[in-house]
Amino acid sequence: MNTDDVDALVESARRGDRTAFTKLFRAHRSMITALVFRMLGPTGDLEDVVQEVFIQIHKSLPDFRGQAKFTTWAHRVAVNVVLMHRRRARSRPVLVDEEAGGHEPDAGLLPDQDLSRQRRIRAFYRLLDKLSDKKRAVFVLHELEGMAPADIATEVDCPVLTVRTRLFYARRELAQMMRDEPALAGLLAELELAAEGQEQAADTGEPARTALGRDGRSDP
Amino acid sequence: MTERESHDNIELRPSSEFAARAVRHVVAEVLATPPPELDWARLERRFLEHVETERVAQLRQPPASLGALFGFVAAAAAVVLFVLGARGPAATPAAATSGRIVNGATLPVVDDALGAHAHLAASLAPGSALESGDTAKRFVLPGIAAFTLAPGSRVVVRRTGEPYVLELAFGKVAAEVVPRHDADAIVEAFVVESGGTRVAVHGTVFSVARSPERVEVEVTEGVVAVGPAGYRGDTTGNLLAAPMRATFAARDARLVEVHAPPHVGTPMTTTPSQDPASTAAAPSALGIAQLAETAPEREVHTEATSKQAPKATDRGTRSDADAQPGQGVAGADAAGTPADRGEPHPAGPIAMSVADATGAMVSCLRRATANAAEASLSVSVSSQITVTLDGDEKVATIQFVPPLRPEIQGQCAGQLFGRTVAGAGSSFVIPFSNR
Repeated sequence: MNTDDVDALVESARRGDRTAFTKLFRAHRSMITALVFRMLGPTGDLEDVVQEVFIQIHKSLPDFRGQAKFTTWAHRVAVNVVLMHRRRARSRPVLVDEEAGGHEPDAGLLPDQDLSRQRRIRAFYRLLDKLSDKKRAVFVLHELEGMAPADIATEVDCPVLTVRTRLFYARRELAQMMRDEPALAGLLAELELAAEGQEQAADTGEPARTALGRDGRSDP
Repeated sequence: MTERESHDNIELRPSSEFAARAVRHVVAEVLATPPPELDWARLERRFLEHVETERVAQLRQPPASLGALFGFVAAAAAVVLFVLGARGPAATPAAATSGRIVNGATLPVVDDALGAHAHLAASLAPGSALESGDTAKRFVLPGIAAFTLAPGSRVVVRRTGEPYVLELAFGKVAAEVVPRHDADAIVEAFVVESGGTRVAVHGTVFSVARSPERVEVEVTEGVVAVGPAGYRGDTTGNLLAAPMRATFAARDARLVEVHAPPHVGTPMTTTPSQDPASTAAAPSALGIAQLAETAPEREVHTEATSKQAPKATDRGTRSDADAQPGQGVAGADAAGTPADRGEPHPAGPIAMSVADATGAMVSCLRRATANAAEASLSVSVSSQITVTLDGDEKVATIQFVPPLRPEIQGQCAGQLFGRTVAGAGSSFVIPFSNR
């Protein structure tokens, strides 16, 4: 769907055209879902939050003045809804299995690598949850959404320098917390062993054996 | 380096590189993991049902009376709003039964921080409307703000959470906002938006009066920035420092007139812990009668307002000291004039030259944005300051593009407001950079 089509749909939707908004919903649902998923992590709230995003988009549409692309604006609405959802969630009782998203994959069916990867991802989001909301937001938007600091600054309403500072501290805190997460401490140990193996190979001239080669992903 | 720092560095150095690699590795895994496929049909159905429910509820509301609205941001302290002029048919008490309009009667009553009875508004969802009817109604959002709707007033909750956003439809609202700051940035906790004009409040007491085409802003304490609405968090536009009254075009916040300083009645402080009686009285002291009693107005047309939206690059140059919360604003020099010390100037007709005004502003900004000697991070600040003058060559408005931290703007602009600058015409520009 090109920009002109989106603009026309937005204009119709602002006038109350339900069909137009349904088309906007279908055109942007994947983008919004991917964003919410990356910001929240594996969680059972994904569908509820995605719905909340579109409800908020619908309510805020009269305020959309075209000062940015609709996609950019919708992205910003989604970020704000996720941040508000996380704040509300902090006041709720924590469920014991909430971190698994209410569903633990059957270890008997999944390959070891996939299971390890899912555990690492869940552990990583647990670490992200320990960051402040502000640091977490800029880290997710930069590292997972690929947004530039200047765009993040616009999205979260703060100076670019503040974004960069928060990013720096977020990365440092995550690195420091990794050893306390068993699933990630194992990854750390693998990387250190792989580095040692490469050093030994360099000394002896033999090919290095890396523990991370099995999934085809080479260590940067 | 202290022994402790040395120990920490020794402990972290060998593993920090691997930890950073591990973070990047997991990030790559996250990016490679697609989100689960949702039941789109069910999601769409639930969403459209919600939209339909909202639409039916909205049809039961009385028709909206005012199209254009007025916007401002209250980052701290007290905010007083007047919206006068055109309004549609009065809302009927039956509107309270629509489910979307609450007249306060159905909300629990609590004692707010000032000891006044107030309706607890924390549970209202976006889209809820509050209307006061024939008597004033007071509402409280614990930890955020308390606000009073004057009789015949209406606001709509547009957003809950941070910031909490109200839309003023018609009437008057006076609010006391709990000041909030954190180590990273000044927090905007409470916002009132309305149409094409936006006023940003920074520890300020001010009032806004509205006619169909114009918005009058009266500042009785502190500094207010008035600019176009729609740019959340930005404080572009014109700065007005107390005492000051100016008129703007409601549609686009273009400065139209600068008036004589208003007569200030009962002073209002900017702290929430204020006698509720004086807080309630102050809005009426700044009401229609006082606006009508001010000095005859002079037509002064300026082009000071920037209509251009601040771009991301503007924020890139707005590299102020927010990342260094410990850096205070310098400037309590005992020597020199009050302007040198960054203090409000004593009232007086003594004229400055453009060079004097430029020097005073630049000196103040340099002191306020100076990097601490021991800082490991150097902050560069740049801004272009446009100063407009009224017919008597007195400083009327000051605009910072890009905007700086509000307290810096307030402090440095405050020393020029009301001063006479000779030989500058209607405006002049002061470029500033602390590099």
